Amino acid sequence: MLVGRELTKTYGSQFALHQASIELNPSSITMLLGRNGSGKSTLLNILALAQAPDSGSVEVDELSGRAARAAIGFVPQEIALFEDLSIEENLRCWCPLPAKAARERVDEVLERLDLTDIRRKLLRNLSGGQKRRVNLAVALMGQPRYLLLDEPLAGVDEDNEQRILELLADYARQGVGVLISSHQPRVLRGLADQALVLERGETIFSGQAADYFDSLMEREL
Amino acid sequence: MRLRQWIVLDMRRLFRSRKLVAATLLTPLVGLLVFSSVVAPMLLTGNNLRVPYAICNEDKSESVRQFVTMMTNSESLRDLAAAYPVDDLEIGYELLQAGRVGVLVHIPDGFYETMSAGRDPVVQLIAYSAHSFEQTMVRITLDGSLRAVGQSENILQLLGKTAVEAGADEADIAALLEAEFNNCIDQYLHRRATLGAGGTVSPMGELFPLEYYLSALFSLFAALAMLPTLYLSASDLNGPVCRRGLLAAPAAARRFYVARLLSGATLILLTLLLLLPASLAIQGMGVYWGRQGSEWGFIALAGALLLISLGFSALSLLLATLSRRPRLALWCGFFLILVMAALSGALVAEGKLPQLLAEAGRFTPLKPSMNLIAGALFNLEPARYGHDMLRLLLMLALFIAAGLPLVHWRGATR
Repeated sequence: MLVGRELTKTYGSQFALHQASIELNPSSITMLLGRNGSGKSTLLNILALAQAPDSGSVEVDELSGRAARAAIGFVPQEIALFEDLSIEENLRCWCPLPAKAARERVDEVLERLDLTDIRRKLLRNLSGGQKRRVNLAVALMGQPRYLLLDEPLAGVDEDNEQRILELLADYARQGVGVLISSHQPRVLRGLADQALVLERGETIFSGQAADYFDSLMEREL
Repeated sequence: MRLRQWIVLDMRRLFRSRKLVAATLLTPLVGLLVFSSVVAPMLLTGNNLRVPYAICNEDKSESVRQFVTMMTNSESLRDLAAAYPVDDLEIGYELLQAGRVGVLVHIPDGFYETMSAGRDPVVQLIAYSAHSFEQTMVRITLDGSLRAVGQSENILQLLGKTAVEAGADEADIAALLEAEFNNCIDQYLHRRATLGAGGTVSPMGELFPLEYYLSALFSLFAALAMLPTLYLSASDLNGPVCRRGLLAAPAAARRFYVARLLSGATLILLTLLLLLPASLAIQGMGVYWGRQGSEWGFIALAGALLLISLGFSALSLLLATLSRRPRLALWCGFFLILVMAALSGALVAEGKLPQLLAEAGRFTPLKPSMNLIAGALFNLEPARYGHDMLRLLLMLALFIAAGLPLVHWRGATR
């Protein structure tokens, strides 16, 4: 289990996150919702061990150090790739596996994300949707136990959106715990098991995704 | 990522980017071309790298005649310049047109009178534009020498006058002044054996200007070669490396730092190695490695180049952490190099800088780099070499001590 306990982060005098807690189980999909500036990205960065909280703790299956980091696949909101390298080169440079295993893994991930035909294209020559897929592919290279995705569907067309969602569902079935943030909760309906909603760094809802959508419908009515 | 992965990635990215490749490889090539076009006419005109010049002295005074005689017969200048005294300006022009000399120095009649009267005397330097480099070198050397001689003469005359007014015998004073004047000129012409406050690199006296220009050129290109690493590091600290949280852990930040330091140093060292053939050519033409043909010259040079490369690489990393915009970091780095070059005497002759600025130049890595290259190539003085190596080592330690925590801080705070 990936557990974040009472996580707090401030920027100056402003709380980006205040006492937020989350438990991410294997084989589950949790959706992380909230407006811009609610603390979603901060929470994801902290859970991905990319940023340290001011207080609170993060536990990853009782692992620590490099092993803990290796267990997490993080897809940041911005495209975090080397524009001067090709898709294949980007995947290989981020892969923690030995050379032969890395090659096989690259082929596997490229196949999964339908990037095989354009593997030698330079990043700078790709469309936004293609870059998003490569951004996701990098996170999959290390065979993570947990996938944390920050707005992976932003700026993505319907086809790519569907492809990404199917992939995430597939990984969840294989035992990976998925945490995905989005502005569009309806897209994740039917996919997510759990929901966590933030507002101004505070948790305003934490529970079953179905309960969240029911409450959403009640508010609309 | 592992250390090896970082280094391989750096090399791939540095040589993948056309802009970066152009910046690293073209810069020293341009330097070599400039150097070759400037030095080639000199090489074709004279023997090895001695500057051949004709000197026509039309001044009738004994002082100037003695000065010219001592200059043309000077032991210390024999390795550096070949002087051809001529009685007539026409002969001087003929030598110039025949390509036997690169520069014709004309000291006009009345030169000493003008100088004694406190006015600025004029010496003509005549050369074809292809030999402008030698003309500049002769001008700098002669300018400094004549100024020193003229001022010294005035001071001695004043002392003599004061002594006579105090009651000393005029004839005795005149004889003493004449003897001392000749002694002073002799000392001045042999000043190369004495290291001045400027160290082994100074355009105004201690080293022949060619050596000065070469060491300044090599050092400047080493500094410019740090720009690709600076841009790459600034891009990474504001881009994918930080966004994926790769530098959040102290150990990861250290790996990144060490890998970038080594790959940056490798790039700078490659740039310097490209310039070494020029120095080998100089060695082959009789300008030796170290004053006495020291067998340690090559090892000293290798050590110096390694430390210089690491120093500038560490500086580039430090600068990269200070800006959140890669292009701004690049421009700041470029202008910083220009400032360092000016303060260190690479762009502006050290003797012409205000004292405070010249002192400030000692605290930049460019100055000890210039000293080390000049020393290792031309005049290996162990004490001086050790002093400059230590200075550069301290700067390297300082850059690392400041840069490494900043890299970690940038990675942790994003």
